[in-house]
Amino acid sequence: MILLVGLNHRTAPVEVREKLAFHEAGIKEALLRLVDHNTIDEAMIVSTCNRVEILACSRSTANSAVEHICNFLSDFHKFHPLPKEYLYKYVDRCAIHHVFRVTASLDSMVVGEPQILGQVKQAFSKAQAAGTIGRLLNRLMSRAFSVAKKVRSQTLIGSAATSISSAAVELIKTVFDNLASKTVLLLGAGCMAEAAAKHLVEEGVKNFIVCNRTLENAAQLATSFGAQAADFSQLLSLLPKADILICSTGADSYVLTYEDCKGLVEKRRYRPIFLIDISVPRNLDPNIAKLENHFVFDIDDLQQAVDSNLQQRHLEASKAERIVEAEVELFLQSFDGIDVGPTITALRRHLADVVEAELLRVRNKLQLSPEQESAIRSHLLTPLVSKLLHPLTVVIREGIRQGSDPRHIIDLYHKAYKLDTKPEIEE
Amino acid sequence: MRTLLVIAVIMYTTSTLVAATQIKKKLSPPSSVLLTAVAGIVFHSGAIATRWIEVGRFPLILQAEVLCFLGWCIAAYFIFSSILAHTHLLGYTLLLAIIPTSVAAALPSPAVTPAKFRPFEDTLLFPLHATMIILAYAAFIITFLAGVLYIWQEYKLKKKRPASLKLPGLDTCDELSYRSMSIGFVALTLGIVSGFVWSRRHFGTYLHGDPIEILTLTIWLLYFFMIHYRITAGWRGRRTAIIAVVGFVFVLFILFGLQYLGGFHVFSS
Repeated sequence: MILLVGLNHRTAPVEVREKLAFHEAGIKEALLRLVDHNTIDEAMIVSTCNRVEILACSRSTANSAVEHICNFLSDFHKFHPLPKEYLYKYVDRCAIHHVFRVTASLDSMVVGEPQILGQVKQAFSKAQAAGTIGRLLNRLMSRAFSVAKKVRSQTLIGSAATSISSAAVELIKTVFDNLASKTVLLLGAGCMAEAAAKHLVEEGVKNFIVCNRTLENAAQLATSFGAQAADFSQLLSLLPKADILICSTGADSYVLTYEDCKGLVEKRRYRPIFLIDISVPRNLDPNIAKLENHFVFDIDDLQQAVDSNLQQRHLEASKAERIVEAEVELFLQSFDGIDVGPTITALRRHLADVVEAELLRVRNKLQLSPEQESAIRSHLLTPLVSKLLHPLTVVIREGIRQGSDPRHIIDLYHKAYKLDTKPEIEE
Repeated sequence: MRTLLVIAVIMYTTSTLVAATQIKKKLSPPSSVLLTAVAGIVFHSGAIATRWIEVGRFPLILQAEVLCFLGWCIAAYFIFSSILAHTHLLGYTLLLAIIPTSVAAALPSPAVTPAKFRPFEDTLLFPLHATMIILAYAAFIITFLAGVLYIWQEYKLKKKRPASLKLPGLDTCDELSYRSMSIGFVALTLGIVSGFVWSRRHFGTYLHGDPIEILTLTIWLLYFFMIHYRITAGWRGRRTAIIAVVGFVFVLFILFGLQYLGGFHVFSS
């Protein structure tokens, strides 16, 4: 049985979340304490700033397993009594559904944000390193990762910008495809200007000019970007060089007027310029937008872009939910006919190794020629392995056909023959 | 010839449809788009070659042949710009190649050349003239496409409702339209000059005074002024785009409209 106990930004306030969060260094210890191979067989812990979730496999009843996990949570974090009303508990189908949704970023605060997949992957490899991932969680998680990938490639859930500065960069890109060769003029040296500039550096912009009322502040910001610093008096002489202007001064009137820009159109040789005004009150004359190849966006325009992107994401999210829903069904079907392939392969390999070792042992004693050896291999050993293997596989397949859970038999084989099925994750 | 053309059209259409599925996602088309386009142009080239062998003269006289070569030029431009210049226009360019190619496949193309075109067969200047003029038209059609993309995106940006489709940026559109305009201008100049010389040799006159000649010279002047101001004053963007649209209307008129008005340059049979 797969079960999931956890809490997230919707069910619990930050005061509770922070108390139950796991530190990176402590996760291994926590996992080893949680997996007692009696109630809990396999487990992993996802702990981010918005969620703490424990995913586990158990052979006992749901209630006792949940009880076990809750006790573990409150003991580990010394949090008594544990406020159970903040916790959600999912079993089997619901747990699988939840895991798929979380990994596909449908349960995130900002739906579609890309970090969560990496966080879950990290949690998974931590649990792998701690040795608390078995066949079941391995299969579940590798499927969860491929579902997340599918959602990302088949919907537009992660495509559009959801912050003011990323929306600004996205708009700039509709005008300039190649940002590396463009010059950005930062008007005002405040923190907004800095945030926007950082975003542009990530996009490959190299040339910055910082222009501020007081030259010292400009110089300070300029050095951190390797940019040129200037004061306001130079603005009009610098403007012809700029392709992108980001304005965030504290001025209470227009810093740049329609007439200023109009006079520069010919000097700029009609090159397009993108002007972003993130200051309130506005510092750029909105009439500038009437000029040829001048594109002016103020803070409201950017906010509007962000809002419509978020709306778009929610539309896409419902498409993604349908994908997840279908994938859960698929997974449950394959889960019912549990994958015995790896076990049988390992069993075959094990038996072949045994008989091969025996052959090697008697080879010299019997003074076998290479031809005889290969004849023995193909006429005696290979059929022998198949005959030995046959009843072992029949037991499992018959069991599945009659509707019983084959996992006990598989586990028995693994113990008896010390089998090693290396679980692999698809990346 | 017709079968090969139909196959080419099917390839181009497939390529365009595949590109259309990507239009909201990313700028660079998947490689299958390019591969189908290349397959298409191979069949298209085959169609032109077959026609050449069939009629035994340079196959650029009848309207079907002209449109067929026009479509070929546009498709070639798409492939060329995708592979070498890395400017992605997705399938839009191919869409423009499909139209003339399909019309060419539908128009009659008799195997016997009408008697009035006989003098065209025995010279090298005529093929040069015809090839260059059609090449120029194809380039102006690309210019038009880039111009329309520019105007539409600029309009959306000025309305502060940027297009949600992944299109080439304004600067790329502008660069593309300037480049194809320059190619078209050079080809047109060569085409006009070779036409003059050929006409003088064969008919003893530089001009026949028919509407197509006048319109072609008008287009030449139009693009001449645009390129001139681009170099001297830096005109670009919207201005280039508008000229591109006007130029395209002239080209369309020449290709489809004017032959009904008559004159020397009527290429239908």
